[in-house]
Amino acid sequence: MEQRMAEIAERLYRAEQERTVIAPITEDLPEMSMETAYGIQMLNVEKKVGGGDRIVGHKIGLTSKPMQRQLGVGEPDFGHLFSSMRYTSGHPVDHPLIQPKVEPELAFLLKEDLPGPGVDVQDVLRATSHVVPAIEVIDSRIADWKIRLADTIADNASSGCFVLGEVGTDVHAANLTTTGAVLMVNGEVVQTGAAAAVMGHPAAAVAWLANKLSSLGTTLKAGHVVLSGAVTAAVPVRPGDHILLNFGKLGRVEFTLRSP
Amino acid sequence: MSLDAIAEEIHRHQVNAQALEKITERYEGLTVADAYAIQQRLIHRYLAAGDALIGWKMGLTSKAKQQSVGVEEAIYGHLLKSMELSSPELSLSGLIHPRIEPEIAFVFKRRLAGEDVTARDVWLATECVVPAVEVIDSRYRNFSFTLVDVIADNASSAKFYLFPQAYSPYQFALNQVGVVMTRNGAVEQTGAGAAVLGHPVLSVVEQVRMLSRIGRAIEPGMVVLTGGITEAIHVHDGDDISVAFDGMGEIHLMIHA
Repeated sequence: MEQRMAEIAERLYRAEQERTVIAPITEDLPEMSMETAYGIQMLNVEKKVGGGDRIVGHKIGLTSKPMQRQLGVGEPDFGHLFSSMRYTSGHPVDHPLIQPKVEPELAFLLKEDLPGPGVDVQDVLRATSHVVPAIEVIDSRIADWKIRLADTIADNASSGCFVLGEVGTDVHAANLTTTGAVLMVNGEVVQTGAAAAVMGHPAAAVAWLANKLSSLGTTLKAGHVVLSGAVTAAVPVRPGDHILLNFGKLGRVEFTLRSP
Repeated sequence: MSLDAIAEEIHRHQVNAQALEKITERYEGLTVADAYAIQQRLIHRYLAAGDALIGWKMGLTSKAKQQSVGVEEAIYGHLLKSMELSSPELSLSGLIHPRIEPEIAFVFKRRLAGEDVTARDVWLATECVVPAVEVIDSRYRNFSFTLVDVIADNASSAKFYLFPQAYSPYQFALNQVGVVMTRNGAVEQTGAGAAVLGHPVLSVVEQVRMLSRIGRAIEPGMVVLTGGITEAIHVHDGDDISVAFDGMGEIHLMIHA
């Protein structure tokens, strides 16, 4: 099995580097467990760290009931965020992507470590320096996004890159669950939502991650960013598209997608 | 084919809460103008029985809904006094397969008419804005209809409830107001005002334009429901629905048989 995992990790890694897609892993291995899938994800995380990239945080996926139902799972999943994936609002994004989609999210910037287990929403809010609006650009190395749970977990939770707003807000300065998020592509409203869509409260997703990581023997670190989960359905985008997220009192994020 | 006869049939099904086959499957060649004429005749039946016209509602105000019906324009319906819930309780009796959706309502102090109306005219004529929930209930089987069917059915209007606290129209950026709808504590839908034609005020502009084509207007004192901010959700006996409008308040709607 270990050799099989290394092989799959290598195929995913190459697909990402070469901007190509591969068939769903679960076509050959329909019974692959979540543990094995996270194991494959970790092989590529170690490879990237070995290659000089740096882990700057985590992303949480499958935080909405409809997404969980679609993939037949009862909990979210997570992926790793690297320094090379990070962009700032107002600057063009020329990340190498294959079949990108965008999602509005709330990012938590931690000022303290969050060791689990037993982390709850209040612990997350206490450990958070501030929140910033974010657009996550998700991407899949699996052909036509035909993903099952193990496919997306092995593929770093379908991460592409992420764009953070420039201004942070104190967690108590706005209602994090009801503040409206408006996502526009090329000037047209394409999705609206509020962060309550993320497990009732986006900090609940961060708490889930802190506890999940503790069961895997690691911890959310001070200075890390956590993308807490999609506030709306994902919207496919293409090079040339201008993407704007207006998150009301929480600020805004915008960028133009460019070919790398 | 008589538009009066179709209006009579829809009226009967509305009053008796009985599902109906699509009229477009049974009568050929009905146009959008015919559909509004049927809606007009339907409303006259209620008015003749003592009901009163108290405003208008907009429908198909999101791109997603317009696409689902295959159109690029919103529609409108009449709001009658009998549709307004005086307390946040909804009885399912008299309804077929109701759904509810969160909306921003405008209440007017001045008359608004004319094809050339602007958003500025709407602000000047607005007394206040109010969080609202609309109960829609298509009279068509399986909530399935074409544009002509839904217009003839008074744009699926059934009931509505206005939050007791009204706000100045200038207090909130209505396109940015976030909305969270929960059922028995679990989040069902979220959205923001921009889901309504980019901004709810633009829905009122569109309402006035459509009314002006038939020589009608928004009259002082009238209410306009501007359109669903999220997808509508089905409701059932015993549901405790909560709709939070960021900064504006929270409507708790109890559903019973």
